[in-house]
Amino acid sequence: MPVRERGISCHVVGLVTLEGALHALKELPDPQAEREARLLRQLAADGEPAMGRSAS
Amino acid sequence: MTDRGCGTGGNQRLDAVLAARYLDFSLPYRTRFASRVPTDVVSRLIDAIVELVARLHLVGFFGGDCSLSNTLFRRDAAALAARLVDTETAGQHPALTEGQRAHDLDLAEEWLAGERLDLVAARTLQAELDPAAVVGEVRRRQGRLRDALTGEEVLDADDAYCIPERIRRLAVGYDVSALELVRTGGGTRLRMRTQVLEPGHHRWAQHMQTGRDVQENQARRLLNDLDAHRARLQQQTGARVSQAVAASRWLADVPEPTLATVPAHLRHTLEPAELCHRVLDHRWFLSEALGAAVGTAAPVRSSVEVVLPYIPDERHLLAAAGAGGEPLAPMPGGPAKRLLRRSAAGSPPRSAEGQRRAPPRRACQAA
Repeated sequence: MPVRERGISCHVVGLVTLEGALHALKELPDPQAEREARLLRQLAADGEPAMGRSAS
Repeated sequence: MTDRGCGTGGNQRLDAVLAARYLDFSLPYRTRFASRVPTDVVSRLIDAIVELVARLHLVGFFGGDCSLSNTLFRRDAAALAARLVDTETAGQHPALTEGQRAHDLDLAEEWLAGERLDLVAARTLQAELDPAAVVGEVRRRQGRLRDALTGEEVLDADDAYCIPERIRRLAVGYDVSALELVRTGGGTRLRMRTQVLEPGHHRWAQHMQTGRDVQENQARRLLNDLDAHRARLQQQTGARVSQAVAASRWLADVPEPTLATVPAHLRHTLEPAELCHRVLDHRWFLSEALGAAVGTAAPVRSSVEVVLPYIPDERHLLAAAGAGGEPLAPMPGGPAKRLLRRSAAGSPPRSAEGQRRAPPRRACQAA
């Protein structure tokens, strides 16, 4: 699966096409990943302007 | 999965992958403006960030490092819409304190100034644009936006008719999510909480609360009236009134008596929601002319006399036009103007009829 690295993030972000849709992937420590996924999900559920559905 | 480092000498264990669906048409600013950032775009980028931070702060969200790099930009007509993509440093709170908000703005300003320096160094931004100028600019724009969204006003109990005007001043794309009148030692305080709306929100909310299916702008208008009605009920009873109870009372106090009072031959010229909207407009004009709330019964009677008879019968308009009927007549100002002057004896309208401000319609017709 080809992953392109983009951006200047502290944790490197890769872009990958999954099931026809572009996804951003980011490696990071487990607790941080869970926390960030929770926040992104919450913002998306509240209709706030954040990255859409996410999963860790 | 890998042991790539993050400022820790490369020995930090990374054992999870966060995957997020990328948003179509949203791009990082470095991609959107790969070769050169046009000068006028810099201001729009900052506006988009300011708007993003304001939205997040309203729901108690601390960004931590809101910046160009942590944001995706999507075209939104002439503007750019910003979306947060990185929440590593973020936090959700019930509500932000003034200190948290100020700290978040400090961080955003520092990031934006640094990124502006980067752009100048990379020759993608004209050097004459002072990177330091962004510091302070974010806070100024944020302050203006926030004042418009969250300002509290102290009102006398008799000035409750000003509520629609306060709602009207909200920025495009925002609306009131909570409105309450709180008694204080110095008077009655009007407190508004603002939220950002998705397209079709008003239509949906109106349907859920009152069972009525109406157009978006009609729904926005009627919901604003429902909110104001709820605030009045709470003021009268001194207790919290639930949204469901308020919706039921509002239906019984405003639209139902309005529709019941209007004679059948006038009632069928407009859809019920549009007819209520016209009566609410007229009520606002009367309230402004008198400088006091006028209730609902008097504006309905007055509308039957001086407003509704002059509105073309829209149900039959096309048929009439097809049969060579009369062209649309302009709305007459004469009778309404005379009535306003009569009603407002001792308290004349503040300006001529034709120069009056528009009635309190939500300012996001084009949203």
